[in-house]
Amino acid sequence: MSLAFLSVDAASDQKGFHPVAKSAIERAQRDIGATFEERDGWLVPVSIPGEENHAAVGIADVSHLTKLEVRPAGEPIVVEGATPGVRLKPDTSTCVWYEISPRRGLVLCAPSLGDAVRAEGGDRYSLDVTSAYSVIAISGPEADTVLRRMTHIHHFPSGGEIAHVQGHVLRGEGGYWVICAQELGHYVWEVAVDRASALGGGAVGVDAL
Amino acid sequence: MGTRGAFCCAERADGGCGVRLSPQPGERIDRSQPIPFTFHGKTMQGFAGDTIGSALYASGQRVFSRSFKYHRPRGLVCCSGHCANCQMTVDGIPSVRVCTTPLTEGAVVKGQNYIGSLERDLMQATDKFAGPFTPPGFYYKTFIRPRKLWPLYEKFLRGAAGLGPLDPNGSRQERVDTENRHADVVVIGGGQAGLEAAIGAAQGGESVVVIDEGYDVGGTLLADRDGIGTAAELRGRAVDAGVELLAPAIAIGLFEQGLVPVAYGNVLIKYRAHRVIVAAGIVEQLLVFPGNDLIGVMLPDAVRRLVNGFSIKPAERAVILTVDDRGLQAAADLEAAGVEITGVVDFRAPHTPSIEAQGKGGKVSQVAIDGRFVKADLVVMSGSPQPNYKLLAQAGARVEYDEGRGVFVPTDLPAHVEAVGAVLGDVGEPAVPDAILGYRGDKCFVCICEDQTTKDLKYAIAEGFDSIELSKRYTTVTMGPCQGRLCHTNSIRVYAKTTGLDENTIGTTTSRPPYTPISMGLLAGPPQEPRKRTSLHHRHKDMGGTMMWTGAWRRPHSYGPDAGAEAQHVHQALGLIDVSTLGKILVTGPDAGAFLDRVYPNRFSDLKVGRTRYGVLTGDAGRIMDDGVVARVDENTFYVSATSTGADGVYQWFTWWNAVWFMDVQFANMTGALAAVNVAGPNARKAMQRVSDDDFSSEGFAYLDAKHVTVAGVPTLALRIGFVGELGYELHFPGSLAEHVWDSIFEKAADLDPKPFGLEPQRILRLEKGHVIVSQDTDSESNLHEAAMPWLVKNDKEFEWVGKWATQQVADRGLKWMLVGFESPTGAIPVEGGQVVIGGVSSGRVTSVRRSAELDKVIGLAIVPNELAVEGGRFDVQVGGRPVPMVVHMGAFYDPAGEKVKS
Amino acid sequence: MSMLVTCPNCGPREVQELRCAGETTSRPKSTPSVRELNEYIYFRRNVWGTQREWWFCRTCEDWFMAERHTYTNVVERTWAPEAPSAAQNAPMGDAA
Repeated sequence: MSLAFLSVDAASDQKGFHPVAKSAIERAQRDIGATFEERDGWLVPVSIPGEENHAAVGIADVSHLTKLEVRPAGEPIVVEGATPGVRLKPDTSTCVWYEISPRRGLVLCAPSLGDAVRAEGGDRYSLDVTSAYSVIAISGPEADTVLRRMTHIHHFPSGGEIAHVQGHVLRGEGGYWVICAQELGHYVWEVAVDRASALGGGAVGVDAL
Repeated sequence: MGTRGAFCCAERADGGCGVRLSPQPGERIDRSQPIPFTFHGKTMQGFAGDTIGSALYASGQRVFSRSFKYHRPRGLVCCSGHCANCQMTVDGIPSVRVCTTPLTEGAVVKGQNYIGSLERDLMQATDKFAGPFTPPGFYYKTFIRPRKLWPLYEKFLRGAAGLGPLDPNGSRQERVDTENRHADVVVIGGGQAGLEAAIGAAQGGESVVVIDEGYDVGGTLLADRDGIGTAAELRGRAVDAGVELLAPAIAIGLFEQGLVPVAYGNVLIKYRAHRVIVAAGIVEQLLVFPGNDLIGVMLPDAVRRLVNGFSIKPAERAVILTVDDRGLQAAADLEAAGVEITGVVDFRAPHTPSIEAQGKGGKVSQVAIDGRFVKADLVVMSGSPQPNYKLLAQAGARVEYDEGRGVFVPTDLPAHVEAVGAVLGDVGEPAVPDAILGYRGDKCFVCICEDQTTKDLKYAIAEGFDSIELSKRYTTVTMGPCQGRLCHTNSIRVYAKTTGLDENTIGTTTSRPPYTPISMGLLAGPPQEPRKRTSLHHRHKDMGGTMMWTGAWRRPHSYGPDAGAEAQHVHQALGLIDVSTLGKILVTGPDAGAFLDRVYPNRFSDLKVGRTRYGVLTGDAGRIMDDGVVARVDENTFYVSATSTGADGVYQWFTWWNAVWFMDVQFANMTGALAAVNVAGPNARKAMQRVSDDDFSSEGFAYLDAKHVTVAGVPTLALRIGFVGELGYELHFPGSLAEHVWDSIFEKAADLDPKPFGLEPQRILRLEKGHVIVSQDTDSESNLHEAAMPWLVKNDKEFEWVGKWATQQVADRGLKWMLVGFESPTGAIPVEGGQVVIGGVSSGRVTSVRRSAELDKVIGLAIVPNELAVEGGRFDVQVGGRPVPMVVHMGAFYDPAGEKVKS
Repeated sequence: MSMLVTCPNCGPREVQELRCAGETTSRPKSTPSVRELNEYIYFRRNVWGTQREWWFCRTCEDWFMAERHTYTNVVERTWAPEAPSAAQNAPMGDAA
């Protein structure tokens, strides 16, 4: 397949190399003492010191989800056994469909479901955009306020300006996923954590979601 | 009161206050909850429900501020957030209107705009002595000469001008936030009409928010003894109906399609509403008579709010001057509060007496009515209210004068905007008696924000500023913090009297957002600076990289002080540079090749799978837009690279053309998704062989090939290109794996002496090859011919490629300029942009110049007259003000045959 | 400017989320004279009134067309560009 160079999950152990993927927010979390665990080829931030004090609103990095774009969007891609809809804490059954426009559909799924999603996409033109986006979960009672202090977006799912850069917001139970370009992921993270901090919240690990 | 010390009440042992009335039904204050605060360092006390203004007033404070120009002492006037007379510094924030600011425990309150003390401001000399000499335009006319003295003037004037001070070196003092909200209906003004409209809308199922600038919703009801109960009842019904109430909150403007920014404490809320209902009510107007700005001269509702809402006995003796019943209502409330009414002048009576208020220490002490003196420490002036149409006018409504009612009325409301209540002109009885009583007197203030008197306005008209728009700018009347709410009508009336024109002919001026001054910090919002980082950002920092901006990206400039040595290391051993910022666009589909043939001057449909070709984009004007390498990764897929700052533009350019052509081709901007690293130098092949089993030999992976390889276990698209002039492989792979790939190469090739190199060394290296950087060596006039790229032009294509005609016209007209390489034989280094000078005439410019350590020469690129574009051509460049000779060099400076890149 | 513009894909959008690329132009069908080329490149109708324009939506990354009143800023109509007939290779500006 000629576009394998787009895919994180096409990397494999070889010649003694052990490729592990990192989110654009990895360093910011390491700097505040996050604990990481290797899951599905990704370094996943599972917990962050002080997260227990961030019950009002927690900001978590769930960028390790596999992301596939299909064109045209067409029928939503549903994978057998997977639970559709956004549950803020990703697990092995995560498979979320989001229609960006009639031309573009985006699937966010557990890395282990990538191949099933590709198969389900059929002959639609599909692109692995896993590395293109950061995904930031905003969870808790003050999630609405944090979101409103970052973006005007109020219909979900939808795209638009978030903290002055372009992004998308999906709503799940008890909060949101903010999707933004990975090269701006560290920045959007910083803004989200800052907004949360004014409301008694802050960074949390994925397992605290 | 006038003789009483400023802090007498707070010093009472029982903490109570002598001017508070005994408890009365409906009062706002909760006497069981005392709230301490400090004023000029002294501890004072108010009650829950007080504003800072009412608490200060109840504590005996009468001087609240100093006026803008003459530094006259000023006190409460409107008690409803309109005027600037009560502006103080609260908790370090200047120019807070304390009359509507709820009192909070421990608030630190100070006066502002004085030297010395609020009570004795040394700057008042401007009033006593300079007053008659500071007509409108005084500063413009006076301080212009002698020019030399301006710095001195400026220092003084800057100190004297303005109201509250900001620390120019200070940092942000408090957190601000910006919040976006949506509502079906935003109601501006929470008086009776606004609340009723809000309740109606909410009961109809709409989401509704009410914005009110007062200390509570209720509007003018809050001034009235019975109205207070009505307001409370309406408030309760609104809350029950699900209406959200924000007060004090200021709708700072009314913008297109229901955008209403609201200053609410430290949060700027941007409301988008389907409907905006303006119920801004009325603004009571001053009477214009001598002494009308003395402390103790107040508007009727201000007095009634103090009496009925805050249970304050505001004075001992009061004179009422009124053109309507409002003054009489105030008189009744004052009497009930035990204030002696020493005189009532109702201007509706046939005889209009002459009036002059006189004071001691800036506070009113007596009023001369037809020359007869009456004692008073309070003068209630009622000039009849005007509709508060300012926001509507900002939003585009027209304002007309209704002669019968004597009010300015908004008409032709913009889309999505409705208005209800008194703002539409129903302000009670017709206000026909003229509020301009003291037309000929001295110190008859029209504008108390900017200290403009009737005399000043007449002076401006006499000087020829006879249009209200010109006068506004010349005298600054209506341009103060009240935005004309208290002075607009009266200034128009002074104009009418002076020019003999009617109000509609004179017209109105429009106040601009913000409706009320708000802090710049609130507008700026929380600090945030979007910056793009590559996936290797932290590796660069770990390795000592100095970061710089390139567009929105942060990139390493170099990794140490010697960029020249960093460049040389690439020639000698092995260098790695992060080029992830390159634009990367996948162009896929059966028509992909045909599409690229249309947008590029050269041909791509015949590019073989696995090969790359350089391309330059032009618009139809023939100007060079962007450049990059195009690789054909399979039959239907081209991988197009663009410049770091051009990626989004190129993506939009491609999709734009295809929005017209509808060719069968897809575009995907993968710029951020993929990392890219150029591994370059004589050791590059060996290095790649350490991390990959794929064939990197000269035969198996030739110059300009594009191959799918696996690097350190990561599927990678590798392009063999030679931008920096040495054997090199540009690796493209998922950004999330960038640190892994980068680290693996450094680790496995450690003995090959790998070093990172930054943007600056790359600029030296490419210059040695004479490679062009678009927008550095080209500008908005550059075309393919004069940028020395005629070899890209392929006019034998069947489609009229974008830019073909204009490019052909350049060739037809003959070439005037040429981009050439040059050497500086003297070793002098001109600046980039330096003038090329031939025969004393400016004839082009230097676009790039660097010292090459490898070549031991100063080399560069320059745009010169075409006739000089020959090997050895000579021209001068200004260096340090002197012409220095340069010599043209055609072709690359380094490895002109390209043996290194092909090795 | 604070207006909303309706992207055919995304619905009403804040104007800063869009890029207005100006009024539509008509690309010459064959090699133009110098005058024709300059008119195409440099001259715009610049009308007072309804103008047909190109807009780009940064959210869905598609182009669309709009009719906007140049004085009131009211965007009267927006639509996705329609495909030209197969026989016609319509250049920029002729798609509508």
